[in-house]
Amino acid sequence: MNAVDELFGGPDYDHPKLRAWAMRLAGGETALVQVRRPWNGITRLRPELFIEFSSPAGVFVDSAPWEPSLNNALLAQGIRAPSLTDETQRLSLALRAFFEPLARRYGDDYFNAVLLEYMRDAKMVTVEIAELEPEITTHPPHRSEHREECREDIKAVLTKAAKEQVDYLGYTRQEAVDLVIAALADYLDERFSVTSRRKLGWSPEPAGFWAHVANLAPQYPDAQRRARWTAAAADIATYLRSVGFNATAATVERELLGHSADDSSFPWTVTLDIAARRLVFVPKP
Amino acid sequence: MDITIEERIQELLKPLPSASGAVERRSCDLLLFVAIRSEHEALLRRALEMGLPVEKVHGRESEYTSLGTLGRRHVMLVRTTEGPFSYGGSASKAIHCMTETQAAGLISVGMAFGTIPSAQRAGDVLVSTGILPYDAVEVRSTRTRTAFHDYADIPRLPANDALLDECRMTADLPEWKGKVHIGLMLSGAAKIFCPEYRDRLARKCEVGRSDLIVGGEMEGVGIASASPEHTPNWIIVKAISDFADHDRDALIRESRVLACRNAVEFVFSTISRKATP
Repeated sequence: MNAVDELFGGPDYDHPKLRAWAMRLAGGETALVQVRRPWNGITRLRPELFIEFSSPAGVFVDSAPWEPSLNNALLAQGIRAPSLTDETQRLSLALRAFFEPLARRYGDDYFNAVLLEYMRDAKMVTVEIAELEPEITTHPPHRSEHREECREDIKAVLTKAAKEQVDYLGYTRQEAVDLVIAALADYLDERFSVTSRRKLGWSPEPAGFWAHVANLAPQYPDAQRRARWTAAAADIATYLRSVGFNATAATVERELLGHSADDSSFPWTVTLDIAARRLVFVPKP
Repeated sequence: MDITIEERIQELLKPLPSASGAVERRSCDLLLFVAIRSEHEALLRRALEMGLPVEKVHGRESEYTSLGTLGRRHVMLVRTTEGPFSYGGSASKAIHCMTETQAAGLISVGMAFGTIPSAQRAGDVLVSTGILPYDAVEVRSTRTRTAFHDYADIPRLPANDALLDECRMTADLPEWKGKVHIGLMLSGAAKIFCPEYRDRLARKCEVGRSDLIVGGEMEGVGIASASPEHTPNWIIVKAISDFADHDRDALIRESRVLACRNAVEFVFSTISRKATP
């Protein structure tokens, strides 16, 4: 096995671009991976994986169609996405690949029913999932030995997914759990056509992050009193959870970055320091 | 006053009066698609014979017939117009109805033509491992040949593996032995009355494929548009009503009822099982 093979865990998986990318990493460049999945009408186009290499000489960006094995090879190298939002999307696609054999084995409808039941039993409730729930209908799974097997298989997939986020990408345990739950929400959204239905006007738009935060009004000003607040999204999520709002770090990051600028009720300007992976809050004038 | 099954079928075949006010949200686990009246009648007849709580309901873009729970699934029936295209054809209905109901699977049930007359009989059931949308043919010419058809690049659109496994289990039951053909199906909008064309089409489309072409039909190519190619949620289960030859219409007249009944019986037998494969 040569050095390049070693870098990606052996010659079992090969991809035309992987060798070139491995050479760059072996040469000391750093990398970030990102997945792009644009909407086309009410469906999403095929995902594409982008990798950005940085070195003193500059930045080089390359891309390839999404493949679970290619992503695994990059994951094993500890290559992160630039933000938790991007990491969520990447993990959602990975979950799709992990779950595919289960859906085939148990049947899509049965798998759906058991997955939803498992998530409810495991109390995987976040703002994203709470907002999906009214839009998702499954019937209780038939009680049989297959139900227990299916639950065990689902649990194994989610455990593996969370463990990889910690072991390979160096996220904290809480960040990994948040990422898995946020990725599950994204997976369910696609599986049950929730956003597609919203685009068609068949389902109401979700209340959204700020509607939930508004319910925390008595507690929220505590955070606003600080003149300048630099924090990781995970810290903010922890704060919100401490006041009873079940938010993941990915939600916080996405919502603060996506909407705060236009939202007059939110008193901060937020910027993301990608290198430090921190959000910087500055009070609006 | 009690009404007969035949009277109830006639009621259910009529369109519902226009919905007034908001349409209720519809959901189910599995959608059954039929395209023509005979298929629709056969499905309703069997459902009523089985004592299912058949009820017609408004959706946003379609009428549905709820069949209640079969096995472990809540099932609804949708009728499309014949063929894949046009508003109300299988493509537009599949996209709308799968999005509206969040169904995890779709089975297209009905009549098809057989491609192996020497080994198949009218009424035999065809189960698709996938479809070949033969309209995607390339038409070429050379100095010596004009307008020849190149089928080499026609994609094979695979059916849902879990639904296929369930159908294989049914096909293995003693009552279905020798009456079920599992393989690829040609799918396109053409009505074929020519055995030479049928054979040539099947032979050319089969080149380089691992599974045999067992038949052909019209709606599958539309139904396949409702899900990504790598995660299909559909399967075609149809019974042979003809062999796409000169006698097509005469044979359809004779075998229509048998074909529709067998396809419906096979599907209900498959989805009525409670256990997962």
